[in-house]
Amino acid sequence: MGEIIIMPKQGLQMTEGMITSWLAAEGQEIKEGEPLFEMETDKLAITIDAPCSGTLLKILCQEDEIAEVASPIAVVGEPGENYEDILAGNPGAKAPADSAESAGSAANTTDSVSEPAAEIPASKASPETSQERIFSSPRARTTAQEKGIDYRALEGSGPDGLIIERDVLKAAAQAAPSKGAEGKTRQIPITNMRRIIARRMLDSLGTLAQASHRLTVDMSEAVRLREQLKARDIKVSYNDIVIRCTAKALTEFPMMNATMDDSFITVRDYVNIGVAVATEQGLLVPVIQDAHLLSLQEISRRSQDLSSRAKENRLMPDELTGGTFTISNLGMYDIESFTAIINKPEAGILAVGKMEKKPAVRNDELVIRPLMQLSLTYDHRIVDGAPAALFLRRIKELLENPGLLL
Amino acid sequence: MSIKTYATAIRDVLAEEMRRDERVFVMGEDVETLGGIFGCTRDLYKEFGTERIRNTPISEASFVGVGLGAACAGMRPVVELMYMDFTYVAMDQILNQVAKTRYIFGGNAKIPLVIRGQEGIGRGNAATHSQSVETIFMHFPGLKVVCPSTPADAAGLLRTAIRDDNPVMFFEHKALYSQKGEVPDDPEFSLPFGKCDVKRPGTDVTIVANLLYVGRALKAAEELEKQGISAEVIDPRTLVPLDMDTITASVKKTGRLVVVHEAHRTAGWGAEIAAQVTEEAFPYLDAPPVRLGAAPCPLPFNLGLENAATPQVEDIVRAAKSVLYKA
Repeated sequence: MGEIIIMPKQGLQMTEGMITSWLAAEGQEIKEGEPLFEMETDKLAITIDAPCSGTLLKILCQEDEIAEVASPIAVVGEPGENYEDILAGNPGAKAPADSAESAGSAANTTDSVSEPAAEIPASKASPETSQERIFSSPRARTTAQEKGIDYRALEGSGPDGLIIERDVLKAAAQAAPSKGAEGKTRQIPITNMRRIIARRMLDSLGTLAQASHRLTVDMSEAVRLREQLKARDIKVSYNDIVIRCTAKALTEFPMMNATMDDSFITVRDYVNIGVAVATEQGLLVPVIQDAHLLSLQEISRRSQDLSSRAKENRLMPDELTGGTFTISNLGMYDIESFTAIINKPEAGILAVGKMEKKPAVRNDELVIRPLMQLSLTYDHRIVDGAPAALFLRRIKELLENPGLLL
Repeated sequence: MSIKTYATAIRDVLAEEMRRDERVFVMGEDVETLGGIFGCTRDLYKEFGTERIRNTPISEASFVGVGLGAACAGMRPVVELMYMDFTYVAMDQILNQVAKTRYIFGGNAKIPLVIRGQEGIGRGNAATHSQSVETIFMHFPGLKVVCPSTPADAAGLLRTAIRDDNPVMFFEHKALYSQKGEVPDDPEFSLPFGKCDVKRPGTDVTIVANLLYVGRALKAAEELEKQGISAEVIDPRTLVPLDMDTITASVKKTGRLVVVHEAHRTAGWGAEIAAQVTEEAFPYLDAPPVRLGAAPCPLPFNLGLENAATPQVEDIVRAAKSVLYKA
């Protein structure tokens, strides 16, 4: 009953995935529906359940290795079965979380391996020997963990190959690094997510004509609006107000909401705003779909939901795609103003700074006002400087006169 | 400090405690003018008289019971059993009465009773006079169990036993009585219960032993040292209360445990220690704990057979090497 597990496709744009952690070891029993491995795509990190039950005979795609979608990553079968036979004789493979074709291929599998399987007992002494359970003393395992040694790879010198402490100590002595300079460096494997972020940032800066405008917004009216809502127990953030105003401005400036390829500029009659969220793994940009149709409160609800699930790694792949414009806010880190990099293929990105009470001149008087800086990075290939400036000024106008949103 | 035999150390503490506290008295078979068959009460009757050094009939059940009654009534009796094998005769008194009276009566009676005597091999005393029986008294709650291996330990622990308000089973070893050693002269010198003595520090294997086997374990450690193996030898000294902290810490360090005693290996106290170490220090063990003890047969009369039935120094050496996976 051999089964080949393949790299599952998670989301339409996924082409490859990196296994970050196997949750079962070779030789271990796995059960259908129980977590089998953790992986990362360019969009998300996710835990994948086993698509079938059996003994995990062979892991083909090791941790931190990348596999293309639908390529074999592991083989499952009966204890003692030869995984190579299953791989060789089985064109059908089983993808986790995708059972559409598995029924047919599972039937094939049984037929194709039944013959070679019958020969195995004759060539091997007993099924148990091929299972290769590794025996080790508790102390050997404890010491191995302390020394960072993989005890499973060691040859045991104890009775019947039992791996004991001295085997681990010997390996640790051999593995001890030679004395180098005083300062130490450490090499960290590049996660798939980091790799993707790097590639996309470089691609954006390397292929778009990025220019930026800055201006300062007087947030007095936005503060008043927020307080009016707060007094009625409706909580919205300044960022929600910025999203709402930007969504409205985008409906008026379709080129800021467009994308460009070699032949066409594509304009849209809908606005999907991506909101940059910092997570432990790195930057994620979940998308608020149809932001131009949503009320301020709806935007606030969507935004909170997406950002909290982004931080818990629970976003669906589709929630990370389809954006038409992006907003990034670093005000909570005291950043006054910054230049953001366009989330390709979008035409612009709005960088929001910290809102702070500052001196301002009104009617030739020095007054204290809550001020906030906006910085718009736009793709000069699509939009010229003047329309981009008008767009940014419109956002300012809406923020300073929130009544215009009605 | 004075150099004393194990027997003299015991006798001197009895005398000092009787001088200090008139409620202390000694009772047993032939303890009076004979001074006990191993001389632990020799000449004491001359100073304290035969009221306080009292001979009893050969009737262990009755005079252990008398000791319990006297203890309840406010005395601090030290009852000598000629052989600890004879505890069996008084077992109902010891296990059902001595061990439980204070508990049964809600703590209203103190039982400052010491039951002491010798046990063990070494003299060819045969099956009913050579046993090591301390494990039995560790099994039942209510008794403290003391096993001194040196003259100083005998003195310090006996003083603690006599001053304890709870019943204490005090196991001496017949083959240790003539052993000499330094004993502090301080009439207040005492050793706490529940504190192991690390007789020799080591790093490769922990050997736990009591009574006669402390010496044998130390001899084995010397032999192991010649072979490049560093053995830590620990004497628990009291089985109740038992200082597992010291033993567990040692095994966490060495990763290997050998427990050796003269008591029968099957369900001997070494099994309890091995089990507790396994529970507390499992991730630190590089080999299963090994127990050495007397063979599952009555102890033979013939001295050669007695040796064959009990662990010898070379057996301890072999066991220590086996847990180090060395031939």
